[in-house]
Amino acid sequence: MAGAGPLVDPLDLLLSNAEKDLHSFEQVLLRKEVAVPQDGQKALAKILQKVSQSARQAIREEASALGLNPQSDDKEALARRYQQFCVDLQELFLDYLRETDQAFFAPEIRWAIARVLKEMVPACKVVLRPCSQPVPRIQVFLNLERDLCRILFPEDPERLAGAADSPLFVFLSYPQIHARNPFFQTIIMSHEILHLRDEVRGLSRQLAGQVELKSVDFDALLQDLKRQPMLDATPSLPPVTIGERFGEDELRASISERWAKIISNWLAEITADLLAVRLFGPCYAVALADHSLANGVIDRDSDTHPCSRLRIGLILEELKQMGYGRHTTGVLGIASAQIRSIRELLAARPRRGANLLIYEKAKDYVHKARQRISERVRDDVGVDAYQAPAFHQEVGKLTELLEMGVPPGELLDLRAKTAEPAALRAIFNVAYTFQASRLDVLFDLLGAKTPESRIDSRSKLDELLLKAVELSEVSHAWKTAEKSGPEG
Amino acid sequence: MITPRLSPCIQGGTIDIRLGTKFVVGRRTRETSLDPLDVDPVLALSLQERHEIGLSDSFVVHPYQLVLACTLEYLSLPRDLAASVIGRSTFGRAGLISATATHVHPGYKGCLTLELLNLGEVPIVLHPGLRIAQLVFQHQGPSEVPCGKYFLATGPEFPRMWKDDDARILLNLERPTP
Repeated sequence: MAGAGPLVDPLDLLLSNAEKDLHSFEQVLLRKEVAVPQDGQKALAKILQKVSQSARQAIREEASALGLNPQSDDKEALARRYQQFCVDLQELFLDYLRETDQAFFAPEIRWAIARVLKEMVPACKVVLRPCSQPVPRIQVFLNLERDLCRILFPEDPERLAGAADSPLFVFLSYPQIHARNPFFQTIIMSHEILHLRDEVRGLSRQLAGQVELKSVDFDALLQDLKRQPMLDATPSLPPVTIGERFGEDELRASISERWAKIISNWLAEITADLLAVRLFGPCYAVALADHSLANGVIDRDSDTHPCSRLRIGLILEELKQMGYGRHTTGVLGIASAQIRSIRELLAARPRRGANLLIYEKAKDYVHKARQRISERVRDDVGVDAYQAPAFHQEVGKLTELLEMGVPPGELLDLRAKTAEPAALRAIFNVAYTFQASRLDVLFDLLGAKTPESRIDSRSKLDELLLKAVELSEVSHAWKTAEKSGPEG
Repeated sequence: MITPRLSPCIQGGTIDIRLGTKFVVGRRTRETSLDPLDVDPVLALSLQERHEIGLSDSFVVHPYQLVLACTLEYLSLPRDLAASVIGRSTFGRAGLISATATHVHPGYKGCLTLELLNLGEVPIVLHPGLRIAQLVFQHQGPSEVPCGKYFLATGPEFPRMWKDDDARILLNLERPTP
C-alpha cells in the first residue's frame, strides 16, 4: 500500500543483497576458471544473472510494498534504479577484486600492466586475477553493462537500458605461480595485452572476414567429418559414422561454424604474436619458444590456438623482415644466436601425431594469408616497431648496467647527466640476452661458486629485473607528474 | 650512481633519498625469543610480514612500531667512496627515527634498508617517494668490494643472522661446566 511503513531505499537493499551474492560469485569464479573469451563471457553473464535474481526479487518486494504495479509506467523508474544497481554492482565487483589482487601481485608489474593497457584504451577498467592455471588469459568485455541488461531485460533491452557508456572491461587472469617471474611477464605484457590492441582496432576481425573456405576444401572437410565414427556409439551395436547419424545440412552448418571459430581464434593469436614481435623484438620469440618448448608439445593444434611450431615459424619470419638474425657481435649477435638456436630446436623436434584435417586446412589458409596479416600489423605498429638499431643502443647500455649489478631501469647519459626511463621492451630484451650470455658475470659479482649459490644468483637476477621495471615505472610516473599540475 | 634520479635530490652537499614501496613488519608468533645463534631462514620468514604498496598508496607506522623500509633509489658506490645515512629532521621532529644502521660501505650496491621507529604518540602516514633521509659521502682509500649479506638488495632485508661468520665460532665456544 502506498506510504505504508518506513521505506527502505531500494538501492541500499539491492546492494546489501549484492554484497552477499558477490561473495558467492567470487567463489564460483575461483572454482570455474573460464577458459576462452567467448565461453567466459557467457559464464560471467550467467553468474551475474544469478546475482541479479536476488535483486529482482528485492525490486518486486519493494514494488509490492509501494503498491506499484510492475506492469505500469513506473516500470521505467524501477528499470532506471536497476540499471544503476548494475553499474554499482560492477564497481563493487571491481573494487573487491582489486583488493584481493593486491595480495598477490608485485606492484611494479600491476603498474606496468595498467599503464600499458590504459595507453591503449584510456577509459578501460583493468582487473588482474591470480589463477591456478599455468597459462594467462585475457578477456575483453566491450560493453558489460549492455550485455548484462540484454539478459536481464530480454523484452526490451534498449529502451530499458538506455544509452549507457560502459567502460571497456579487461579481465586478465595471471598464473599465480609466475607472479614474480620477469621472464614470464614478457609473454603477459607482449602477447596477452596486445590482444586488447587487436580487439580495439579490429585487425584480426577484418582479416577473418576475408578468409573464406573454398568449396573444394569445404567438401573435403565434409567428407572427412562424415567418415568419422560416433564417439558415443553403443558397444553392442555396429559402429555408426557421423555421416550416418546426422543430416547433410546439419553437418554443413557445423563445419561452417567450427571453421569460422578456428579462423577467427587463430588469426587473433597470430596477430597478437606479430604485434608482440614488432613492438617487443627478439625477447618475445625467445619467451614464446622457451614456454612452448618447455611444455614439450609444439605440434598440438586446437580450436583456440594454432600449434607453437606454426606460431614460432611466423614470428621468426617477421624478425627476419625486421632485420634481426644476421648479426654476430654485441647484443644483436646474442639475439641472432638465440634466433638461430630456436630454428635449430624446431628443426630437430620431429613432428608428432596426425592432426585433424580442419587444422591442416586452417594452417594452409593462414600461410596464404601471412603476408596480409604481416602488412596489416606493420601498418598498425608503424614507427613504434623495435628495430635493430634501437635494440643495439638501448639493450647494449642496459646490459652494461646489469653487468655492474645495477637494475637496468633507466638509460643514463653520464656526460649529459640525464636519465630516461628504460622502455619495458628494452628491459625484457636485456633479461634474455643477459641470461643467455652474461650469467657468469653475475655469479662472479655474488661470489657464487656452488650450484646452490648459483640458483640463488638466478633468483637475484629476477629481483634485479623486477626492480628495473619498478625504477622505469617510477621514473615515468614522476616525470609525468612533474609535467602536469601547477608550476612551483 | 643512484637510480632513479628524481628531482630535487641534491641539497647542500648531500643527496636526499626517498622512501620505497616495500616494508617488513615484525609478526607476533609463538616463538619466545629471537636468538642470533639459533635462527634459520624458515624461522626468519615466519617472524616477518612483507608489504608492497603502490606508488600512490600510503603506509602507517604506529607509535613504538619498528618497520623495515627501503629506499626507492638503488645505490652503486665506487670502491673509494663510503656514505652515511642521516635522518631528515623534518621526520625526526615528528618522532620518526629513520637511520640507525648509518654506514654504507665502499662498493655497496643495492637499496638501503631503513629501520623506521616511531617514537611519537601519533601514527605517522608515510608515502613512497617522500624524502626520508640524506646521504653524506666520504672518500676512503680503495678497498675490496665486500660481497656482504645484503649485497644487491632490492627491498628491505630482515636480519640474516645465520650468515654471520662468527656464529659458528660462538656456537663452538666451550661452555663452563656448572
